[in-house]
Amino acid sequence: LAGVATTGTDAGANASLVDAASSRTLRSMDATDDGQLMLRYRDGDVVAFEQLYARHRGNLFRYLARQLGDREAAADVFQEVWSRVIATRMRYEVRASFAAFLYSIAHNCIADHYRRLGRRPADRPDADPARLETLASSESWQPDAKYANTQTATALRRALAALPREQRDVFLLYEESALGLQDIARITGVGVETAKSRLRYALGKLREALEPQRELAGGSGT
Amino acid sequence: MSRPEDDRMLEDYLRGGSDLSRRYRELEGAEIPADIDARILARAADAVRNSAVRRRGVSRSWYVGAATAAVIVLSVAVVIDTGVLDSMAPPLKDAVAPTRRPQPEPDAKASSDEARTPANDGAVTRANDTTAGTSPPASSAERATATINVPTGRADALPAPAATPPAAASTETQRRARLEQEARSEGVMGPARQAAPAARTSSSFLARPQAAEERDQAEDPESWLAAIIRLREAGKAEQADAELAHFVATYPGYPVPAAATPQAPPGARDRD
Repeated sequence: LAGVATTGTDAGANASLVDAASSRTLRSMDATDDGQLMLRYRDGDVVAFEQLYARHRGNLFRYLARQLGDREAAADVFQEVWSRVIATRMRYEVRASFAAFLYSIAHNCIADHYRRLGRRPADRPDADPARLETLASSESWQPDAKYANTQTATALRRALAALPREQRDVFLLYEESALGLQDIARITGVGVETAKSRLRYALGKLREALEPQRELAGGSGT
Repeated sequence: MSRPEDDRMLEDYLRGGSDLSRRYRELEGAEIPADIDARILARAADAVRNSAVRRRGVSRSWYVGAATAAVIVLSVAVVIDTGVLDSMAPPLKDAVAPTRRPQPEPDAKASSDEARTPANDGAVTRANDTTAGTSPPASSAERATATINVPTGRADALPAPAATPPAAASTETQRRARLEQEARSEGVMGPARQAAPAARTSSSFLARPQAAEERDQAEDPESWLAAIIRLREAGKAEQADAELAHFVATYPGYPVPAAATPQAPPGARDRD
């Protein structure tokens, strides 16, 4: 897997940040290849699946981990998502991008996960402030080397975890899947305007959470 | 209600390169447990292997299914060919008989009635239709002959193409009927001869199609020769000669009795 090219969001902390727009464009170009890889896998080419997996594993796992707030649960759901991809390969057709297909499965798996727990998504354990504190300081949520000591990363994680599930879902999907709002709306089962509104609210709350850090750092911008 | 700065922030964010996006990407990525990658890839490979095995199984079962279907199709075809057509014959008969059968004239009706048996009464085949259709009824005798030669029972249940006589046989039948009618009108054909078609029909209607019946009749050189002899005895030498020429053309090399050949003028022998 190490030799397979991954998308811009897999870049390490020391790597230069890829511009989000170019990354999204680049990943959109890969979308066609993703469909072809999936078709090749459907026809029995395991190497095609390995390439597909390498492209999407990082983003998918981050989406799940940050949406569920539990690394173990994220690992379980992550396997379930790929199992469903494998199981449904024979019925796969290139109608939409593979990312839309993948994240749609992931979205459903998250819903199933909450259903199994017998809990509504709004009752997410990390919505509790004490739990949020634990999550923010836990090993799995440690900032990378460059920003380990900054309060900004911690504040962002906490703000992200405190978002209502629907708003966090749209934000994470937009960041991790490289899909447009239309696809995200389809995955989450709402209209485009609703998805856009959720994203707007999420951005507002995150920005508010980062405001004190920005003032300390003297930064500006969105 | 959204604030203008929220809308502006959203537009900046969607345009890409926002500070929030950058900070989000700087967060340390949640690392995937090492064993999960191997497990998922192994599962993907197993699925392909299993489906390949399953596909081989499916292809085998496909052959079995195809063979079964072929056997069923063949069985149905045989059943239709041998049995089902029997049940289809009556509607055909009912549909065709009233419209296509010509009304017999009084003189033909007698011979027709005499030749008709309960078994063949009302039986009409395409052969009869062909005869009536290709050449309009030249005489009532032709129609009667055509009627009495129609076999019934299983014979009329045979497929239509098989029952359709060849054109030559049909023409021959008409010619023979005309010949016999003329001989009958001259009194040269006895009652036994007139009853012959009925006897033949009743003895052969169970299995023989009309075409075979007519062919037999057309190819019966003895009765043809007998008719020629009767014509000659009745003094119809020209007609007998014509029939004889036709007979020789039809059965070249067949021994022709002297009674059927043209009689030498009385004076010729004297000259010899």
